[in-house]
Amino acid sequence: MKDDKEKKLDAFIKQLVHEVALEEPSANFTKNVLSKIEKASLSAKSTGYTPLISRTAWYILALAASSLLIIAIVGNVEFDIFLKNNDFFSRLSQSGYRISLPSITFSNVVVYAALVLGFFVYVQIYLLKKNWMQKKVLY
Amino acid sequence: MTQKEDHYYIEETLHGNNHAYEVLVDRYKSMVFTLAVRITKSREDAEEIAQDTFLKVFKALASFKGESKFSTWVYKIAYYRSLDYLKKKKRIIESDTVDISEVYNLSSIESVLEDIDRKERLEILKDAIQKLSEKDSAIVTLYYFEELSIKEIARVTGLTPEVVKVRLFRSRKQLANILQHTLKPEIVESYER
Repeated sequence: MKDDKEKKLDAFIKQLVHEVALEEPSANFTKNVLSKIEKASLSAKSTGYTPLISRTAWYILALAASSLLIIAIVGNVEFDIFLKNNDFFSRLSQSGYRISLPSITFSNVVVYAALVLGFFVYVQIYLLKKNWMQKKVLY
Repeated sequence: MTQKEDHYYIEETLHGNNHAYEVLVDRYKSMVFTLAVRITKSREDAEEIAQDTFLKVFKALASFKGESKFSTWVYKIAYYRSLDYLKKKKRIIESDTVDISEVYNLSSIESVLEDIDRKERLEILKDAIQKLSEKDSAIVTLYYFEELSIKEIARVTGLTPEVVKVRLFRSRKQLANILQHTLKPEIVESYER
């Protein structure tokens, strides 16, 4: 009996909603949307996103960094030309001024832990950014 | 209106054919606009929200992966845009005291509605739907007019299917009660005849 009443109400509401039908937007709705899109794409072109460091610059930097690393490891290059020819540092050490930096030693465990922590922070930044971008797309 | 057809126009739009997007806008504008009207209760605000929705859809089109129907995706954006708009205007009114008692008499509501002329009847019915809460009137339209499944509505609204079901159940009763209340004088009159 209750089910029957519910079914009747369901059919009645369906008919009611169909009779009310959909609301129609203004006649030039589509035209307005397209002009908004055109405006947005024009402004995107003029104020579009351009990275501070271009892709080519990144490639050059990566190449330079890796070649320096390779030279440092494999090559046998004298790096102390400047220090040899200039006795500024030797004079400095003789002059009595001492720069005493604190010497802190870390155990291997601490160093590895810091490296792993750093790695996971980067992973988290990547994941958070991805998540945020998805949300941005949705709304 | 198949998903395949939508897909064709989406691809065309992504290749820079704006006329293809025009087809998509024409196809979904009424439903998007109706959802915005149901939620904001204002045609002026709804027009702006619907336009913004299509602008947003256009910008995010490349990220549409086709996991759900294109229409569901568009409705979701429209739904959230409308709610965001209300939030900004601080106009969200979620009624806790929903009257779902069964005091209505469906057959008398139906017979009175039949006697009223079409234009007036439409006004009464529209008013009744607009009196539902923002979310409920959107859900009722998606379910009864667009005939989306409970699961699809859950995807659009971000509610669980169970909550959608409960909201639909309450909305049906509430609509009947609103109509009963609006038509009370006519119903009494018909009894007296």
